[in-house]
Amino acid sequence: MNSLLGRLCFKSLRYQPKLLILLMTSIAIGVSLIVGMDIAIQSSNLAFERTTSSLTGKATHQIIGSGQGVSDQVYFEIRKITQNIAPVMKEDVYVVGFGKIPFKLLGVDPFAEAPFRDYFDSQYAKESISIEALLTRKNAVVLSNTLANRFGVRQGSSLSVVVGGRPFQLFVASTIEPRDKINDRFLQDVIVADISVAKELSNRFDTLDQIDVLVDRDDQETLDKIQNVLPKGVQVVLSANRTRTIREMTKAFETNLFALSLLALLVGLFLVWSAMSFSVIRRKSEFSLLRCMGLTSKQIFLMIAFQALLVGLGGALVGVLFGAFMGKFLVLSVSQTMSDLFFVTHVRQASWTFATVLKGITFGVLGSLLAMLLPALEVARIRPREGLSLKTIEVTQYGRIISKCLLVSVFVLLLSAGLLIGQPKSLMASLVAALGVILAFSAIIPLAAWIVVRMLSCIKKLTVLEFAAWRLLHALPRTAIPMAALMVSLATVIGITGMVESFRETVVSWLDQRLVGDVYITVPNQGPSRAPAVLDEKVIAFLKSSSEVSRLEYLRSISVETNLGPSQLVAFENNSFKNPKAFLQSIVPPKEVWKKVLGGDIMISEPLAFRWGIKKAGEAIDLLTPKGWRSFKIAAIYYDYASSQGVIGMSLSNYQELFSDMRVNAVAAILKNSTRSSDISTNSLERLKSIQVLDIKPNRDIRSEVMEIFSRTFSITQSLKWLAVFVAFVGIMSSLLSQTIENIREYGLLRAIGFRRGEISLQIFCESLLMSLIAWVVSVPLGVMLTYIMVYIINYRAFGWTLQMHLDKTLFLHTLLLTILAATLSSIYPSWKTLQLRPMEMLKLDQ
Amino acid sequence: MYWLLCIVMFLSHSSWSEPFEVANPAQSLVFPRDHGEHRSFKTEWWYYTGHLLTEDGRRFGYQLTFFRNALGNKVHVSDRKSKWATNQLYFTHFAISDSQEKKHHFAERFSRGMKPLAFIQTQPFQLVLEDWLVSGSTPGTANLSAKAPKFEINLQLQPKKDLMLQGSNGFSQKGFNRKNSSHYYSYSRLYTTGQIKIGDQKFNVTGQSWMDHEYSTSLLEKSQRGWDWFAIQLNNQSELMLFQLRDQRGSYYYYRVGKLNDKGGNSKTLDMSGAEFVPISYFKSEKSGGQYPIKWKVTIPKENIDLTVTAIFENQEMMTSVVYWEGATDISGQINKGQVKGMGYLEMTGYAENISKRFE
Repeated sequence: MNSLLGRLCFKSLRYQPKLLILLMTSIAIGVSLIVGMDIAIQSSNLAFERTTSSLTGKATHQIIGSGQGVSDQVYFEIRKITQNIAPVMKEDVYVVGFGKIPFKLLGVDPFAEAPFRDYFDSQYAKESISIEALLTRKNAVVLSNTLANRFGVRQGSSLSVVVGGRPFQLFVASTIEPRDKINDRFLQDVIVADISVAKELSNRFDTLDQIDVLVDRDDQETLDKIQNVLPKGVQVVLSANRTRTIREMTKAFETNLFALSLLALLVGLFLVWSAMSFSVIRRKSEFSLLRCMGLTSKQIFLMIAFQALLVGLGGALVGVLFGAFMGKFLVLSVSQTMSDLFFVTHVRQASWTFATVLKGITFGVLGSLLAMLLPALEVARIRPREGLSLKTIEVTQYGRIISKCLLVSVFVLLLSAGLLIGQPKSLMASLVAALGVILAFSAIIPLAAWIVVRMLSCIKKLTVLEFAAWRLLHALPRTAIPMAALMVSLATVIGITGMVESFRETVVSWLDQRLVGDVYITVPNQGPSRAPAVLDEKVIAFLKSSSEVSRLEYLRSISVETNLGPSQLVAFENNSFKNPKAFLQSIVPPKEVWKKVLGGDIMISEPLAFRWGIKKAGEAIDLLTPKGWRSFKIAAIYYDYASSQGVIGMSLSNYQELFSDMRVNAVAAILKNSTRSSDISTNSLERLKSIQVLDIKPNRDIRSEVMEIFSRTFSITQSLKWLAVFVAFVGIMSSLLSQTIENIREYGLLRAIGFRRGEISLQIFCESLLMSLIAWVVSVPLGVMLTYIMVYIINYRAFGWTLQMHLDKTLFLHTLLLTILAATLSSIYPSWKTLQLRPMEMLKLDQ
Repeated sequence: MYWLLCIVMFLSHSSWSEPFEVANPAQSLVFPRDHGEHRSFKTEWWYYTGHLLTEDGRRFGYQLTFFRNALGNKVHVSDRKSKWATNQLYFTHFAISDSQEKKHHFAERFSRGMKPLAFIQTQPFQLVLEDWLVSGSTPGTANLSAKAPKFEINLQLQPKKDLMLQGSNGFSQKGFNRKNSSHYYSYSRLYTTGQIKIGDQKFNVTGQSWMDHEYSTSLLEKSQRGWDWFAIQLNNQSELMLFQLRDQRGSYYYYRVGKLNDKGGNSKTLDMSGAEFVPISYFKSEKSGGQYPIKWKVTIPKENIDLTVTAIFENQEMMTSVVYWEGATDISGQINKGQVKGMGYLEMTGYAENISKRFE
């Protein structure tokens, strides 16, 4: 491109600042969505890495026990075989004043740690660490400087915490400056203590949670020796396998985040496309003039491409900044959800890499180039004189557009259906298919517009609306895109709301079935990553002797090893399983399942069956018990929404016999006088709380708490939903604005022939309303379809949950109101803009 | 490795609030009680060194030392419920010097003082740090076994002489201030048999060992930088224990002590006036930067002792958490104008780092 052409590019952009801002804003919004979501995904990854690396360290293997850890004695024995082992205790610690997400207490033996975790392998740490205090002081811990600053403590300070429902004052023996940023990040969730302190805090004196082992890959001899000294119920597992299990759990969550970012990309692309085509088509008279002056089609094309490149780059840079800002908020939401569902994390920083920035910029530039391609080719093809005449392109083409789009729509729809059927298990395939359905419906927009216009033209006395309708139809290449963007946004609102509502309804009815007690007593704030703390025996004794209580039901929850990987085992004595609706499938009639379970069979929850690919009840699972490996028949697969990872259900009596463990984690008390709105007396409450810090919740509070976690889990989805609406709103407004700017001469003409200002405003509002209504009409079936896909396909493939679809009809009304609001708001500025000008000015402007 | 360094740093940064006992000249040693540990003292060690020969004359030196260190503040520990809570730290140094290959193998282990990981037992006598252990009826009549990844020993020790009380009746002063002293006794000649293994090679060996047991709370003054310690077994069946403390200027004489145990097991404190330990040649360690004298001229004029102590090879540096040189030596020279020969063990500290800081 020669310099004259280059100058022309810059000048034509410079002289149209509004258009430039519009284009750049569209691109910036699209890019910011991509960058924001990318940061959220990165932080989810980081949370995962932090959890696994900080706790697993460099261990090649881990020695783990059946639910109750590994006896100290096992460690002493193995220590004689190899010195490359380290004892580990893990416990959730709630720091008073630092929210409901627990921190991880990592109890280690400093003398065995060196080969495993290298936090303190630092020239900074060696001056400040006080091993003496760490080993000898009661409740002594080590914090990273960053964590200490966050808690506002320093060496020698004390820190109030709650562990296993009991309050403690930790003594900050040392604060350390980790070797590098990676270690520093890992240590933001982790409080390190000597193993003796961890044992005292967790009240488990004779067992370890695990023993980390470092063995060369080919050193089978050492592994065999270790294996030989292990008692029944204890086994060596590869660390990588355990890490992989957590990875698999979080993967579905990340895939969903990725899908949301794809949706963001799609909406963003629509926006850029819409803005670029406006820009190009609006300036076709300018291009025709240039053609008259001797520029070739190729030069025109190159000029548009160059401008698109510049605008794309500018918009992308702004978008990256926006995205980084947005990412900060998304990260908080992701972090909370990860903590609720998978493992404790305190990832707060939005970690963005060069790759994120590059991705954002590439999207902006490529999107803008892609978006200008079609309109630019069209403009480049016009003959020198042609473009100088009015609106020839659009008026003649809507029929072709409709048929082409319809073809695309049918093709994409078939492709999506094929993908769903061809890949019956893949989550990614279902997400791509959902995007395909969205695209297919977007392509229906021109047809929908045509039908609406035809219908309107049948109704008489609607001059203004009909006029607006025809103008809209003739400007289809420009108007279809923002309509599609709004349609996608509205459908997203319907789909996501529908999915969340279905989920909520399903969970509520499941809770009704399962919550049989009047009052539930547990140790508070248990994190998702380990078995909850045990109730003090005195608590149970008090409840048993209480005159208010008619019956108690106990629950014990532990982590257990199985032949298919680690899982949560829940032992209970619950009558709620008599309900036939409780089971997805069973080997005997639902009413007899509990008998089977009492007889020694187990049940598994639906997500576990999905995760482990267990298709039918009747199969068997091996569990590692203190008496060694035992095989259990699966009597039933039951619905359970408490855990996305799934659980194994067992009767309490069988558990107690097999595991020789009489402790319990939760008690459901059925009161004698349940009319007293399920509360126990203040006296009893105070007596119980003096024994142990407890969560004593009436039935109804449990419901509201479950619902709270539930809303937190979907908060990121909800925020994305509203973001999509906002983007679409901007899209409609920018499209209207451009249209108004372009049609200003036309409005001038209308004014000149006697149209009043109000009528012009009405005209603009009608156009806006029509566009929005067409979008809404198409969004309703798409929204329902998306809800269906999300409820029955995506959710099941991601979490293994079967949900009952529930769509509230008022939702459609809400989206309609939203549509009208969007139409009204987006027409205000263009109307005002038009009304500022006099008819003669308007007529001159377009020349 | 830095973990270990961090751990050892406590030696210099301890701020124990409860005072430890200091060595007392009025307190005589009672056995077997004093073979065991003395937790009221801050530092304690059981030092085994020796010279081993294979049937075909290949020579090895070895060292197996168990250190105990109190992390201060007993009050805090008594308050604790977990049996893992301790204020006792044990660490062990294990080394073999291979004279033929001129290779010095060494290893170090740390553990908290906790049964069964690491502990000391008086009767029957046991020093245990995981699978490195010394066990027997007394520290002199004992089996030693230790296995590092690439070398190991399995030795049986039998005393040829009764134990020798060092210093004055077992009270060994370490400088002009009596506060800096220890309780110290030795088995100066232990007949040794057993096996050693280096890599895949096994050797049946016989030889002589030396055992020291020493405990104290304060050893060095601030002005002292380190020490040179000689354990010499001569072919006239007598043994010599010599040490000198060096001040911060390094080579300058500060304080010297000597004790002779004659053939009959009678020990005698040597008159060290006019004595000189003169370095003749040096070895400069590339790893630590320390420059160690590896050949010494030892003259004690008042006792008519004139000996040359020569390392069997240069590099017997212990690159452990505390860096020092500890190795086998050859002895030649005269005592009372009679020619003597022998073997010795030499320990030199404070050349690569200021050792006194660890005992402040």
